[in-house]
Amino acid sequence: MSEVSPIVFTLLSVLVLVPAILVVVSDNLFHAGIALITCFMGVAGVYVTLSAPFVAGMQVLVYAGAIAVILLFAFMLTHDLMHPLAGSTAFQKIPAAILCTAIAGGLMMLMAGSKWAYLPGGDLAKATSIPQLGQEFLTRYVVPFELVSLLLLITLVGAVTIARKEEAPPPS
Amino acid sequence: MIIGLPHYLLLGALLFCIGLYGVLTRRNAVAVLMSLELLFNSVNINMVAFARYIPEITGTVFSLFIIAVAAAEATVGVALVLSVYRNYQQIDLEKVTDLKG
Repeated sequence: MSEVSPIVFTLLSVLVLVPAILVVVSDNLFHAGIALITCFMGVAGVYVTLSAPFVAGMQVLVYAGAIAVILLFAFMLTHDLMHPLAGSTAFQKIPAAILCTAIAGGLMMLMAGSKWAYLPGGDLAKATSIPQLGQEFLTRYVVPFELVSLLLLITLVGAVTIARKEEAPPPS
Repeated sequence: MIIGLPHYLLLGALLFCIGLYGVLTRRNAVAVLMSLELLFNSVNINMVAFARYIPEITGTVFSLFIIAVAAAEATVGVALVLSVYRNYQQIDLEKVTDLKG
C-alpha cells in the first residue's frame, strides 16, 4: 500500500480546481468545455492515486470522452455567433460567491472536526481489486446494475424523442 | 505530511462549491450543465476516497453507478436544451422565464 506523495496530490488538486474555476467563470464556452475536459482528466488522476484504476479508466471514457463531447455539441448547436451571451448573471455573483464560500467553510469545519471510523480489519487489496468489483456487481449489486442498464435504454429513447425534429403533417 | 482521507474530502468539498457557484450564476443553460458535472465529480471523489480509506468496495461500486447516471442525465439535459432552443431560439436563462411566478 503506497502512500501518495504530497507533491503529486498538490499537482493533481491544481489540475482539478483551476480548470473548474475556469469552467464557472469564463465567458467563452469553448474555453469552458476544454477546461472541463482538463478537470475530468485531473479527477481521473486523483482516482489513480486512490487505487481505483478501473474508475479512472471509466472516468476518462465516459466523462471526458462522452459527456464533455455531448456538452460541447450542445453548446455548438445552440450558439448564436451574432449574439454571444454574457457569461454570468451579474447581480447574483456576490451572493452566490458568499454562499459557496460559507458552504466550503462549513464542510471544512465538519471534516476537520470529525473522527472518521476506519474498519480495523479492512483489507485494502480486496476492497480495491477489480475481480472483487466484478463479484460485487454480479452478486450484491445485481439489481441496481440491471436497473442502470434499463435507465440508459430509457434515456436513449427519451432523449431522441425529446430532441427529435417534428415532421410537418402531410397535406391532406 | 501523509496525505489522508481529509485531504481528498477537502478536494471534493472545494470542487463541489466551485460547481455550485457555476450552477447558481451562469446564464447559458449548457454552462449550467457543465457546472453540474463538476458537482457529480466532487461527489465521486468523495466516494472513491472513502472506498480506499475505510476500506470498503461499496464506494467504488457507487461511483461507477454515479458515472452512469451522470451520463444519462447529461444526455437528457442536452435534449431538453435543444428542445428549448428550438422553441425560444435562445437558451439565455434570463430570457427563458415563462415559468417564473
